[in-house]
Amino acid sequence: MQLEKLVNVTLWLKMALSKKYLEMAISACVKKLADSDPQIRAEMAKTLGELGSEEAIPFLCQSLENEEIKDVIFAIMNAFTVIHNSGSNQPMSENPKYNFPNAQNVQIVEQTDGGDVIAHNYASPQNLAEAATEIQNLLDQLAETKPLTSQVIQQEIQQNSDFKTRLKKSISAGSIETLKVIFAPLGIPIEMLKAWLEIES
Amino acid sequence: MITNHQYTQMAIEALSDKLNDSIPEIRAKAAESLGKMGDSVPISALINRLLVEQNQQVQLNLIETLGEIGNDAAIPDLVNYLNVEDSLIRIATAKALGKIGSEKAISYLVNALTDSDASVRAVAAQALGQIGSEEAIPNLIRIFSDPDKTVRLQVADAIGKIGQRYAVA
Repeated sequence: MQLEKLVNVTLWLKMALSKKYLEMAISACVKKLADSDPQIRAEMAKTLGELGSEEAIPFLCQSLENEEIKDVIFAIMNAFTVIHNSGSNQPMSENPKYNFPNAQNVQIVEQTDGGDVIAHNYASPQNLAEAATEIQNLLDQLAETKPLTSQVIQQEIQQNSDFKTRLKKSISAGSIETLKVIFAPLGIPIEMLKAWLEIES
Repeated sequence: MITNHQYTQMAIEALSDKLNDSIPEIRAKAAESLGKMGDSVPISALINRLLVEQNQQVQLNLIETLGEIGNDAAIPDLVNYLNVEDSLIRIATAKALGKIGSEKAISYLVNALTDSDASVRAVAAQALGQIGSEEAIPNLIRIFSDPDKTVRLQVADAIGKIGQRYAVA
C-alpha cells in the first residue's frame, strides 16, 4: 500500500522524473555508442539525437573522432543537428527572448500593446526539479515509518516543525503546479496543504 | 544556457573537423550539417575548404551552407564561384548570395543576369529580389526581354518584391 502510493507520487513527479529518466537513457545510449556492431552505434546516435539533450554532445564528439563507418558518422552528424534544433529537453534557441544563466527564480514583467502589465514568476526548471525531488525525499522518509495518508501528512506537518519548514521551503522554490501533481494522488487538495502549512492563498 | 552554447560550439568544431575528411561523402555531410547549426557557425573553415575542394557535391553543400549561415563576410570568396565553368555551382552561388541578402553582392549578381545559362540568370534575378535594393531595377528591366520565359517571370517577381519593400517603407 505504502509502496503503491509512493510509486504514484513518483509517477506524478514529472519534472524530477524526466530528468532522472533522461539521464538514465542518455548514459545507457552513451555506453552503447561503443558497441562493436555499427548498426547499434548508428541507432544509439540517432536515439541520442531524439532525446534532444545537449549533454550527449561531448560523447557524440568523441565517437565521431574514432568512428570509421560512414553510416555511423552520418548518424552522429544528424544527431548534432537534431539536438541543436530540438527545444524539448533543453531550450537551445539561438536568440532566447529571455536568458537567465543560473537563475534561481525569475520574475518577468511584460507590457502588452494595450498597456497591461503581465507579471510571470518562473522558477528555473532545475529549481523545480530540485524542489520536486526534495519533497519526494521528505515523503519517502515519512513513508518509512507510517503509511502515507493525508492524516499522517497533516499530523507530521503539525508535529514536526522541521518537516514543515523544509516542505515550505521546497514549495517556495517550486511551483503550485508541481505541488498539485505530487499531492493530488495522495488525496490532498492544494488548498488544504496550503492551510496546513499556513500559507496564505 | 551558457553550457548550451559550449555544447553547440563543441558539435560545430567536430563537424568542422570533418570538412577535411578524406571521404567526399563525409565532407559533404559535414558541410550540410553545419548549415543546420544556426548562424553562429564560423565561416572560415567552410571557406578554407571551399577554396581547395574539387568534389562537386561537397562544393555545392559548402556554398549552400554559407548561404544558410548568412554571414556577409563570405561574399568576397563566394562571388568567385559565379564565374566557374560548372553551371550548377553558379546557380548555387547566386542562390546563396540571395539568402545572405547583402547589398554587397548586387554588382556580382547583376553580372550574372547576363550568364550564358538561363537558370543562372533566373536565380540571379530572384536573388536580387531577395536582397531587395532598388538599384537593381534598371538592370532587371534590361533583361525583361530575355529569351527564356522563367527568367522573365523571375525578373517580374523580383521587381515586384523590391517594389513591395519600398512601398512598406
